Amino acid sequence: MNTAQNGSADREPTATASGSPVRDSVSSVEKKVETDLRRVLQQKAASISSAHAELPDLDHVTRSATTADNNGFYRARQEPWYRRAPVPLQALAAAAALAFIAVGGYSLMAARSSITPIETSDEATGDEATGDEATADEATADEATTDGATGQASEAGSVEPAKPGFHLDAVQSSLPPGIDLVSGPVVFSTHESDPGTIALAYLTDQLSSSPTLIKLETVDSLTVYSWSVDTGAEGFLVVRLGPLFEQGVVAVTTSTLSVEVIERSVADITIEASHTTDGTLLADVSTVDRVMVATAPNPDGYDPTAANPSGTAGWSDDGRLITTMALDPVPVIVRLRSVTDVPNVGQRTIGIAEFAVAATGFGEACDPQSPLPIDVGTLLGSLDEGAAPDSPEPVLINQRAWHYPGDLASIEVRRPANPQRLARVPDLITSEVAEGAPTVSWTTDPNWAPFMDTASDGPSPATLQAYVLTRVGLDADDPCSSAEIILFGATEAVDWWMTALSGELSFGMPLTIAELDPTSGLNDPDFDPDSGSDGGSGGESGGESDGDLVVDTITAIDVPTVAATGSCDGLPDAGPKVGSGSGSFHPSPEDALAHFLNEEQTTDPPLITSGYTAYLSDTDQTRLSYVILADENFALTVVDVANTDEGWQVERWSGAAC
Amino acid sequence: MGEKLHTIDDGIEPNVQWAEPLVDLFVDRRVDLVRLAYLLTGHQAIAEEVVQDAFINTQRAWNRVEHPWSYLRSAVVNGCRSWGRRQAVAQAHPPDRPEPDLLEADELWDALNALDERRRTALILRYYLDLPTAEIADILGCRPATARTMIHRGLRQLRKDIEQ
Repeated sequence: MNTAQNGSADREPTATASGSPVRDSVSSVEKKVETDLRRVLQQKAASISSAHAELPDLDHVTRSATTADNNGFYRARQEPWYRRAPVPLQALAAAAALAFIAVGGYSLMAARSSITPIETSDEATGDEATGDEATADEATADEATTDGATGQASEAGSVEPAKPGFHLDAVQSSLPPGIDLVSGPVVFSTHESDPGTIALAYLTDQLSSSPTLIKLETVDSLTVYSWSVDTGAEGFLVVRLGPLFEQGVVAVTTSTLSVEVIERSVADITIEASHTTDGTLLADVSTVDRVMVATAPNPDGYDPTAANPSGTAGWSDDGRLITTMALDPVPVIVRLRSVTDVPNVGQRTIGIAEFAVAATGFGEACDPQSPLPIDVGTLLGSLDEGAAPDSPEPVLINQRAWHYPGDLASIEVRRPANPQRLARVPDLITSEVAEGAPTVSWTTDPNWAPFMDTASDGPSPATLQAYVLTRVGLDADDPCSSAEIILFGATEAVDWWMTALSGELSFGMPLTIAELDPTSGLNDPDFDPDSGSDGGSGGESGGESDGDLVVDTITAIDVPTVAATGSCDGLPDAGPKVGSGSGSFHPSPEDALAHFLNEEQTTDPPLITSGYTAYLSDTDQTRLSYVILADENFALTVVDVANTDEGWQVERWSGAAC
Repeated sequence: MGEKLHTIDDGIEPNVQWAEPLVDLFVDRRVDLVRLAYLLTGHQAIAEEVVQDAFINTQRAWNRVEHPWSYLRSAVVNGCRSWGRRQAVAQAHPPDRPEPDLLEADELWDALNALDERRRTALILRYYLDLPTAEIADILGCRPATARTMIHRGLRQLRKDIEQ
């Protein structure tokens, strides 16, 4: 995928160095960056080879669900295999999983408090319970259920070891004649080319050279394969795996990852984990290099290649790890995965533990009155108690919620703010609190602009979620001193929200949304999602406005004109306002523009003071135009600047009438 | 070590068929998409996963997909951006360092990955895919002027980072 591939004719004009002082100042350095950037991107992309790939397993994804159960427990988008399976198979799978835990020595220990086991029953949906799947293992369902595996997995507290091998008996019944399955130790490993996919292999007691059936189960699918095994003295198997794998070595190693929750606070969780083999804490803990944490609603979506998200793993010499991890206060699934290198081979075994953590919340509820009475005008309904029915987030324990319902989007007020989110924004502005006015505050950290999220289920239709945190009390240690505003709805509302947050509104000014229109952003030249985060930085040319004076430079033949406006506020169509500069001279065109906008202009309302695009001419290097674009062809403001013997000056300007 | 593979019919048959044009795109353009996703995420494994998800999502939405390639490309960008947000939420580390044979590009690559996600995405769409601003804006869900702003500011930030 390169320029030729995508058609460079498609590209728009960019600044080009030509000897003009204007053009050179803008483009000479950035042109090199552009060139280098293209080269680096092409180099990086070229490092991805055309490896063999198979179409993904559409069937199992189709069967996945995104629902919350009766207890409000959020399910995975792609649920673990033992919870996605239809009921009969599920019973088998749950039993197999339990046996895997027990037989392989993996233990799943409950927390001292607030931990509940992951449910393994009652999960089959209409989509999941396909007849094809059910039939394959129907005969085995009774066996698994009789053994009580499902029941054990559903009980709170701890998981009792299951009888080794019973699940293999169940598998045996589904096998063709002549293939015998023998119970034995469990292998839990990954393949190097796909470290996120987990294979469970049920092996024989004694590795032998006779054909042995191995049952492979992955997080994302259930597949049964047979293979021939040629075991070496080290006890490794070379196996050819199914569609999800290509080829790899499975190390015959058992290990245990035990987990215990030390403390669960509203914003994080502290756990102690230990990694053992054959009941002995691992001595060579330097090989334990990862602990993965996955949380609902997508516990399968954790990054298997990332470093330990909690920082260094910090395992002690006796194979123990005590770590604190950020965790949302909603019900979550925590998956810990410890990877251990297998000596002499370079392959890995994995200890894994997965458990559910109940929701947590605040000690006591705050004042029952909304701390942020927002004037939403007629765009939204009146304030209602509680979260909106389609709210993107569950209400935390002892968190109060109010909402203003609307067709396009709704606004919620939450108090206290979500502590997880609050922890990421440490610099909330507090200066306006004393005046008692509702304020919208935001951090000056440019990396934390108002947070937007869009649905990941395809490009459209997408939904919007935006969050603003604010102080509503002076005691920073009091959770009730924080509140948050959540806007959610259709993406069309983004302009509405961004207009509310743009410019000065995002820095401690009273929040009034009454006059805002969801489409106003389209006509608001100040609207710029970046402006809230970059506000106050000033332009490089010395502009004093919140945003950059000039944000782009284009070489073009024609400069967009300011068109007559449509009716605004009930007024008839009107042509643009026009005027001329004061005649003052400046060393650069941007200086002339900045001086004119900040010192000279007297129009009411004033012309916009940031966000201009410089239009350069290929033929006339003595003049250029600064333009505020409403869209590709329509300008809201045009300021023409010309060079004279005495310097640069603003010749004329034109702006939309409203 | 001898090996012999026998696949046993497990009775599971996919009940949804892949659209033929999508299969063609998978064969012909998957690597292109993985490369794009790799640039956006910095992880090859994640890139492959995102692309797989994009194909799945596209197949699921097939009846309303008018332009499969554009849809796929947007789905990949969205998938990478969602992954990036999850990374930020998880306080993840910066993307992996590139392969040793590309060390000469480290500085710019690191600077690119240090940009905020929207600007990085805009730059990659512009300077890798050579997309026009309007198309970038469409993918990012913003106005063209905003996309231009992001590209401009991203370039400026890159320049500053490199000069430091």
